[in-house]
Amino acid sequence: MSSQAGTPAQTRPDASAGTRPEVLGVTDLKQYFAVSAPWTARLARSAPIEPVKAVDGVSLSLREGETLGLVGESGCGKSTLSRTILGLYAPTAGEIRYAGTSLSGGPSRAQRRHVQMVFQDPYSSLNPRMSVGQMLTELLRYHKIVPSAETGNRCRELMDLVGLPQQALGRRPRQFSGGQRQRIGIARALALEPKVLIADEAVSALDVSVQATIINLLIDLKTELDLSMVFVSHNMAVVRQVSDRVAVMYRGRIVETGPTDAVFGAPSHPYTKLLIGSVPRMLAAPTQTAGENLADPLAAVDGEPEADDSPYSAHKVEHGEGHGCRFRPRCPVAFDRCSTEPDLLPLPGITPQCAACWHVETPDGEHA
Amino acid sequence: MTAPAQSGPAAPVLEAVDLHVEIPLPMGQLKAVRGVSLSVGAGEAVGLVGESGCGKSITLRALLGLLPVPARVTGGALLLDGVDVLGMAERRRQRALTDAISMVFQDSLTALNPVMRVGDQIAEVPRRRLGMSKAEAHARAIDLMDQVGIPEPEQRYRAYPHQLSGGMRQRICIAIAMSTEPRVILADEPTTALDVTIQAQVLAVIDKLRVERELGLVLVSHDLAVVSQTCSRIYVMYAGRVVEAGQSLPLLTRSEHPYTDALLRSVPDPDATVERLASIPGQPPMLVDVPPGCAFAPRCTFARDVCTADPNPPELEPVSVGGSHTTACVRHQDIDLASGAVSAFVAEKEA
Ligand SMILES: Nc1ncnc2c1ncn2[C@@H]1O[C@H](COP(=O)(O)OP(=O)(O)OP(=O)(O)O)[C@@H](O)[C@H]1O
Ligand SMILES: Nc1ncnc2c1ncn2[C@@H]1O[C@H](COP(=O)(O)OP(=O)(O)OP(=O)(O)O)[C@@H](O)[C@H]1O
Ligand code: SF4
Ligand SMILES: [Mg+2]
Ligand SMILES: [Mg+2]
Repeated sequence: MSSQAGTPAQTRPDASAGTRPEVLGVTDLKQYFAVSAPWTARLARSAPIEPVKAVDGVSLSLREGETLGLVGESGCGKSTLSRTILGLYAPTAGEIRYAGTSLSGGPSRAQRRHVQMVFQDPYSSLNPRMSVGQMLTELLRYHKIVPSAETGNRCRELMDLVGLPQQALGRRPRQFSGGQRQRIGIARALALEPKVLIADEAVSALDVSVQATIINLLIDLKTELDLSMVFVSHNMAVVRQVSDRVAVMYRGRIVETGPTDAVFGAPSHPYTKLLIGSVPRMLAAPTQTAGENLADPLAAVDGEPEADDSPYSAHKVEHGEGHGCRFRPRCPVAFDRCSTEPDLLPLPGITPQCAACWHVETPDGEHA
Repeated sequence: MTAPAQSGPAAPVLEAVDLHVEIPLPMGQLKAVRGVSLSVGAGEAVGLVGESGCGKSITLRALLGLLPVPARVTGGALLLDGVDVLGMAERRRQRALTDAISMVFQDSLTALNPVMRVGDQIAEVPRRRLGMSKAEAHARAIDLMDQVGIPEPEQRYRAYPHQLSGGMRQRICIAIAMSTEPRVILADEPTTALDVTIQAQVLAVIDKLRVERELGLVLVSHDLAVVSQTCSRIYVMYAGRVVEAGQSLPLLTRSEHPYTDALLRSVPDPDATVERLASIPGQPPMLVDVPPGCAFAPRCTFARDVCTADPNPPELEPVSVGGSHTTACVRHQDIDLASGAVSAFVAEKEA
């Protein structure tokens, strides 16, 4: 492989070391899923099916009080990474640390309580048969968060906190619109007074005014409760507002990290550039032929990738072990070196920005 | 039946007039849609925006005659080419609506049949409803897949939904929507589940079809930037009513309703970080007990007694005489949203 052979990929620490200690960290984390192909595909191809490498060697470090934005296209592994950190899946390989302790063997009840997640799909993550009040009361009692007599008050406080009327406590999830349900999911996560909040697309289903309220809320909670946060989203504008640092994920790997303004202001990986360039911007002058304004940034490039478990997936063919940079099939600036997978390495200069691209020069010329 | 008023360059294909939808709940009637009027013409793209729970999805479903139980239309008219379909017998109405209108949903995975090949799902309607032969329907499906930009359609015809990526699945849903040769497409957050690079592609596909097929498009999106790039007219909904409507440019640049203005201010900027996002204080009403008068009044910085003096909700009125830009703000002539301040004349009068 590359000149870094021997060093595990992506294990270099993020250079943006703050003064505060790490609260949550992962090193060379891998999460593979075995897939059984549909029988038709199994008949058609006799080759063994490769597992889906949803997370394929990720190292990240979250400091106390820090918000890390995790961005990347649908299916790149953001939710899988979040769920693995949360202990919902046993990792295929790699290490997860919470407050300096390795979580091998799964998190304890206290650790579980301290890392909470707001899920992407608010509907399937809420029990349809329980009213919001019942659900919160049960949580508060089980984890003994407040004295029994206080649970009613705390439920009402939580509704206030997430901007729902108190009547909502008496209603069941299905009686709310999508956005309202997401607030309930946030209230549920906050009920346990966590130290780390993993917000997986927590505001994606919300319209802008509610989104703004929840973002401000999350920013406030971060200061008030000294919360650390992994903010997973594919909404770049939102991530820009919330995060201190950003990690860009592509097909199971981190391809760029750095301080938010640095990554948005001067993206260095071709995928990050594409991502930031595709963000819809408010149009100053919508016209009758509005369609002309819709740039298709990939028109010239090969289209989007298939689902990983698809028999039509180029990923299968192109991205097995030793098949080079994962972005190569879509990359407008790919060249011969890209047939080897690049490592995530710091950019030259003082910015603690890292990228995994052969075009990004490194001080020692490794990627030049 | 009287001919509907000509509201744009062409007569609308689909028009809702003073539409009401109620949902009976244990705590009372939930007034999800409280008198919405909107229209879409051939080849026209209109956007429907507004806060979560304001009734956008219910409105779309009412337009298609596909309300979830126990919701029902309790008033108003639904005109297809100027003919009210609500008066028709249920079967005829449903036939008329589904022939003319198709819908694209946010979640392509649940919208598709998981155990049926995607190509067969596209071919189903041409075969059953348009009476095509198996071979014709197959060819038609391939053609539709090609039109929505699916590469190698012959191969992917045989794929199952889970084998395709989200963007590809949404293209399949659009192909299915197109298979009935509809005149109007209702799209409820069609790209919300997709990431931005794919969103741009899917929106471009929808837009291409709109132009080529003279399709009417009603786009519901919480992303005002997406609506601003896709739609020539916008309806802003609040608490089950349209509170502002007009051409996109004037509406977005010189909004005449405090709610629209607040909504626009809360859009996060991808190109700059702000200390704090503008948000709208308070919560939208639960729609069981809708406040009297302007429903936005409890959250509106410009609200005065006049806004709630009449218990009925304020009607849309033109911003300027004869113009198509309308607002339901009682005080629109007295307030200046550009500067965010009440104009001097009014301040004087009230003092
Ligand atoms: N339990 C599972 N079994 C098999 N494959 C899975 C499983 N969960 C996820 N995957 C696959 O792993 C990949 C990463 O999925 P994941 O949900 O983590 O992506 P994501 O970045 O969160 O996407 P989105 O933005 O759509 O939420 C996908 O290809 C997905 O199909
Ligand atoms: N099946 C249902 N049962 C009871 N109430 C419902 C049901 N579906 C919707 N509602 C209520 O009807 C109102 C309008 O809902 P609708 O789904 O149209 O909102 P929306 O504007 O589409 O919101 P969102 O942006 O969150 O999708 C909401 O107050 C919601 O709580
Ligand atoms: S009518 Fe009154 S309360 Fe309603 S938007 Fe206008 S100023 Fe605000
Ligand atoms: Mg996800
Ligand atoms: Mg909706």
